[in-house]
Amino acid sequence: MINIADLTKHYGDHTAVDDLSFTAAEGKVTGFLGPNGAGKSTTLRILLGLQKADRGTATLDGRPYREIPRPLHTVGSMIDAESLPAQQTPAHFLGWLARSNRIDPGRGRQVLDQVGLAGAAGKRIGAFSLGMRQRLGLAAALLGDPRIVVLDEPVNGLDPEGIIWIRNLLRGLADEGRTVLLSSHLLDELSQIADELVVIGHGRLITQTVPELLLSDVLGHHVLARTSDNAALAARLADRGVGSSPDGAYLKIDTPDCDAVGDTAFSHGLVVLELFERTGSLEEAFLALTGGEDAERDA
Amino acid sequence: MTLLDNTRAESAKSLGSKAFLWCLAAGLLVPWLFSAVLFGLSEFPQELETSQWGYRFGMPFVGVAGVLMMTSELQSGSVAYSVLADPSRWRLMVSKAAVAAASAVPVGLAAGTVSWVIAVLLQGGDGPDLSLAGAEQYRIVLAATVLYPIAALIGIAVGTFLERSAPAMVLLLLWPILIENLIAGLPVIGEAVEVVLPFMAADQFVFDDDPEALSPGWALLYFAVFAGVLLAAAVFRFRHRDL
Repeated sequence: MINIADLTKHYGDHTAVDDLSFTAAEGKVTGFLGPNGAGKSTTLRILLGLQKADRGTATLDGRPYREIPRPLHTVGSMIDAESLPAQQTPAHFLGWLARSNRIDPGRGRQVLDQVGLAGAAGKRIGAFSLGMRQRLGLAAALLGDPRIVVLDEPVNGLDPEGIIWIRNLLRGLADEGRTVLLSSHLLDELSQIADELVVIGHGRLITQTVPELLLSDVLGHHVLARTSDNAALAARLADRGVGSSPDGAYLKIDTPDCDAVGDTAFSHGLVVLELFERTGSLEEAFLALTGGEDAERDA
Repeated sequence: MTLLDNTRAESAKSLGSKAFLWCLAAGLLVPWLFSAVLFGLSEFPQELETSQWGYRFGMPFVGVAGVLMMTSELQSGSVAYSVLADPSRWRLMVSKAAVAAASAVPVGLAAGTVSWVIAVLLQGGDGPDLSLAGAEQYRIVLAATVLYPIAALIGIAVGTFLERSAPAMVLLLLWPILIENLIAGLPVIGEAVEVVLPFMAADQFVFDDDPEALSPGWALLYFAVFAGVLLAAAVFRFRHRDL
């Protein structure tokens, strides 16, 4: 269980994380979603004891990271894959990590095998592609067989096959009862992996929900209609208290009820050319949640 | 998590680094080379002290080994992985300091004693007595054994503050060899500040050639305290740094 409560972090005048609270439960994959610069990495770095919060707490199974003895046995984490030690080999890197936490030295080979890097154990990390580094970061996270896994942008740089692979891996970890928290700015990938989504923008929590509800919560269900006179239909609907707005050749109507819209059009002698229900895409939901703030900031 | 686990991890990390090992090797080879050149090519017989001249040029490389232990991680950000493995930052720094100092001891011992052996072999039976007759002669020949680890600690501290390899290395190579001599050579103030220059104090410990300066024992203590204070400040800085 990961618990973030009232977390705030400033860098000078800039507020990177603003009174943020959310939880990630055992047995679930929790996606931590937000555009670049939303405060995801800062939040995760505070959670992992790499940075200090100005206010609030971040705990893993009830304890701050700094108070967990031999933490790699409890928490496996993957931070910026670019900061892996370029001069070292995976075998050397995982070797000293294991040593520092008294993990069986044989585990290094096992996790490299698990992430598909067994053949590259002796090569310099500096020569790795981003995808290989991501896999190595994941190997480091799994080294201590931890109950909690925290991954910062693990999907970046992975090919489609890699994305399917990581999805299955994380699902397996969650099904074993572990807590899995991963951040991403890519909604599509995350919604396919995560059981629950925590969406943030400008360091603030926007919503914590399940991927399916993100769509209906944020965008709602609409009916789109194309008729002989969209403006007349809009006026008739307004009489009944139903809002609508023009959307190209269509009228976008704020109701999920196609039948009622059809009845209204028919009773006023309007010819209905098209009529269908639509929910938005995940990207639209994401933009609706975070885009307004970006526009504000950019203005 | 114990200090021992961390020290084992740090030693695995450092001894697996070619740059670190090359620096230690330079700390050995430079004094040997100086001894060989000074005793092999000189027309005149040399004193025992001359066999240790090269330590001045070897010791900065040991300092650079200490620098690299910090900067190689701080510069790339990979220090985060070390802190994830042990969130206690003072323990991490102490482990690094222990590994740096422990690696420097045998290097200093071999640098001093082998330089002396080279001197004895090349000088033959002529000239001043190079034998280790008493405590003073032992101090001269074994000085690097004590000074090298202190220099390694200074390197750790400088690396922590500067974070980048290049400036930290330049500072550590130039400071003892060039900058302290320039400061000491300044008119009026040079003589006054000379006594507080740490590497001058290290020199005084080895050669005891300035009757107005500290005695060798106090000079060594001053050099060690200087390194200790610098390291303590570096630990403080590292503990409060966001990664």
